[in-house]
Amino acid sequence: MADPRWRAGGDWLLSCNCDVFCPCVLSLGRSRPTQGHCVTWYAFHLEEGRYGETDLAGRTVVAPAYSPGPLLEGGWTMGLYLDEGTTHDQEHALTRIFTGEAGGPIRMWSFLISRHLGVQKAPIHFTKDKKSRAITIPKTLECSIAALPGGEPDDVIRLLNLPYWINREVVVCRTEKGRFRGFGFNWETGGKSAEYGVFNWTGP
Amino acid sequence: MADAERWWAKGLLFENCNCQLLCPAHLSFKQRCEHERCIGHWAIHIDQGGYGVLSLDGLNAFIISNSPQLMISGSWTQAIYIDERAGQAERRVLERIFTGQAGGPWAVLARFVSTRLETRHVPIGFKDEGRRKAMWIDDCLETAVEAIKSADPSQEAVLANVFNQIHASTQVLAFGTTRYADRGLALTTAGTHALYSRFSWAGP
Repeated sequence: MADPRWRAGGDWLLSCNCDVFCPCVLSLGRSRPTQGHCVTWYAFHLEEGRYGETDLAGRTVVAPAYSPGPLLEGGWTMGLYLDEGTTHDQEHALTRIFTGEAGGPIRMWSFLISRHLGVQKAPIHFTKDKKSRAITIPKTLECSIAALPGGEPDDVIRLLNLPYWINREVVVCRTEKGRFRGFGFNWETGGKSAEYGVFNWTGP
Repeated sequence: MADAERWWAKGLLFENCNCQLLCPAHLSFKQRCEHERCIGHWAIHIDQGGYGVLSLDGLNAFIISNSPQLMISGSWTQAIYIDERAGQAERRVLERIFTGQAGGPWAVLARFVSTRLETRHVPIGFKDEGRRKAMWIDDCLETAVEAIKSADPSQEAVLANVFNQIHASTQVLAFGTTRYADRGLALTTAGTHALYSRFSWAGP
């Protein structure tokens, strides 16, 4: 079944096991991750969104992913967490979007993911402050990230005008706390690279 | 002892090292570089500058360093190359500037250098082709850096609001390729960490 027109926008963050700053962002997935392989979780908090007739506002998605080498070579293993308020229709829409199957800027996930471990519903808490972001899933994910201090201390260090797929502007961060246990993975990313920003996508 | 004479210089600075983009030490010398030794260069073209009554306009310089993985631990070995078009007096003041004896930003970096090879005065070629910058020395150096792809192709992708001693706070993200070998120092890169910016220095 073809996907209807959709849009999704809000806040996103990620934490990974690369040194600060993750080379994969700047090389668009061509660089070797600092440790050779990548473990990461992407989190998307939708301020607004619509998939056909289905409203997606307020939903939060967490996508833990493992990549054995450069991200663009694929072979990813990943799973999806949807927040527990997600309805049946929203689950369909979010699963299509966050596996890349519904196209848009995230379309490449559809050909980078080799193994999809399924969808789980859980309480997901996303919070944001002026220079930090946090995402938690009780007993599963504890993650807080903070922007590195900028030269101008009132502002953060920004990457601007990037051809990055999530958004062209990214804030350079370090993971303060990063622990994930789920889908048979047990990852720590404390002290490692992180980033946040906003996104505004349409598809297919 | 720092010089009493005031000096200033503005122009183009570019760098390339053996880390992937972004070199962890660029954000903090307290972060480990990717390889056991961090080897990188600074290529300098002074558009305009003065030291007392001497003009530094149009002169080139090249500085290469080989440091431990943790740059803040010091013990850097460094070699400086100064444009042979510089007169005797200008050669002397440029050497004083880059070795930190004339104060300003280079005095901070000079604290990390434990071994200096003798400064060479050689013809240094320089070319600024917009998103690509190149420098060469006939018997030992060929280097070029090229801005990464950007979202809006009419402008470069940048790292903004980063404190740095010698770069402007906004630096263009680039990939660099260098072939250099001289007196036991060597650097060979292809598509690794590179940046360029318009610098503005002053001392003492």
